[in-house]
Amino acid sequence: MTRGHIENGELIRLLDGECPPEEEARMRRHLQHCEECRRGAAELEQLSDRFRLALQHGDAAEGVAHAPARARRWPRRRLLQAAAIFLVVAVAASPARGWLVEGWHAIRSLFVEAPAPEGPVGAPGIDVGETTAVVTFATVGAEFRLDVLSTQHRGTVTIATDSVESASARVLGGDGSEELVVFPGGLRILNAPTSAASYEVLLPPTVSDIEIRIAGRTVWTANAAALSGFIRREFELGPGAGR
Amino acid sequence: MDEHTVDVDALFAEHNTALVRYLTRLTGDSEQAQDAAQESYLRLHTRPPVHTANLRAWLFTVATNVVRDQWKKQAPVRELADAPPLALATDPQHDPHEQLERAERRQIVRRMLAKLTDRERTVLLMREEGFLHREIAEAVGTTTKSVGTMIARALRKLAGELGPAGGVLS
Repeated sequence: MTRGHIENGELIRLLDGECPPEEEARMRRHLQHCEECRRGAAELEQLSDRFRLALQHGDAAEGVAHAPARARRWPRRRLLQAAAIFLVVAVAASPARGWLVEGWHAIRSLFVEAPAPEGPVGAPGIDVGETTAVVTFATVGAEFRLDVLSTQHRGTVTIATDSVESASARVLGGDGSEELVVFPGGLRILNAPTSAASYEVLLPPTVSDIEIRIAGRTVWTANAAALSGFIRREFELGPGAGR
Repeated sequence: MDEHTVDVDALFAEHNTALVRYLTRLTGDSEQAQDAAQESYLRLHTRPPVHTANLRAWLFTVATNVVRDQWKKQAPVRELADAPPLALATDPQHDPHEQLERAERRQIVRRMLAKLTDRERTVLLMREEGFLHREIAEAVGTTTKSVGTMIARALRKLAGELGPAGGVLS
């Protein structure tokens, strides 16, 4: 560490799961308190993801096979499994300022909650309030894009996929208190009591199954066959939809 | 099988797809990638490694060296972005417009990779194949700790290409 900060090379070693446990713990403690280093880690993580996506664009054009998930991701995944660390993108004061790279915290508790409870909307422990969403799904090149226009009241939107690639998202509205939690295989959007925001979600081309859950209830699923036929479709989701 | 014997067929079956993908990305030329892969298997057969514990890393390192040797033999000014595109008119499966689009995408990604030094490109691409920093370090001849620094520097160098507003993914 230089001048009390974590150097870029060390951040990469952390992201790739290359640090011994004590060194990793030291860096994570530092990240909890240092916004500059958190931003640096998030930037490197996002550059890594976008580099990977660019290569996949090139692979498709070159006619070579995509890397299987294990070969492409296992160092990062090993880190995730070992430490249950997830990328949290917190929406700060200016929610529409572009791709969100603000926060990077260990939030094991959120992952523990991630498997959504089965049952009807309004299951015990979940205050869904008024939650509706219109989702526009489109294929953009090799990627999938979901535009989620939603109005929620303490609702949670989970977009789960079968890919271990991280999705990306940005908020186009909202009151600045939303949180995006990106994890291997999708992301969750945690909403404030009075939140009305749009989310633009980019999913990797390795996705072949998508499931959208709102407040713990599956409201829409699609598999590879269904996705391949879509150019652009709109879906209205929310309590009462998808029955 | 003694420790100097390598089952080339098994190695080919398990790793060839990844090796060719890596080499195609590295060279920007699928024909050169195929040639380098074949040369690597030949070397594996004729000069097998003494230690066979990590043949995958050995195979990729040899292949990287083969490409490096090819680069040295080529003209002094070598542009990855100028690598020959696949023949546009030979694939009846795709219409000309789609083939043109594919060619453009290829060139965009090649131009991005051409901004890196050969060493930086090797490091980033081996990382994408899931190699440990120690294995990458052995392939490019540096220390394990330096690999993280090289990855970060290379990624930052590409930030303009990879940004949300324009570049490769726009």
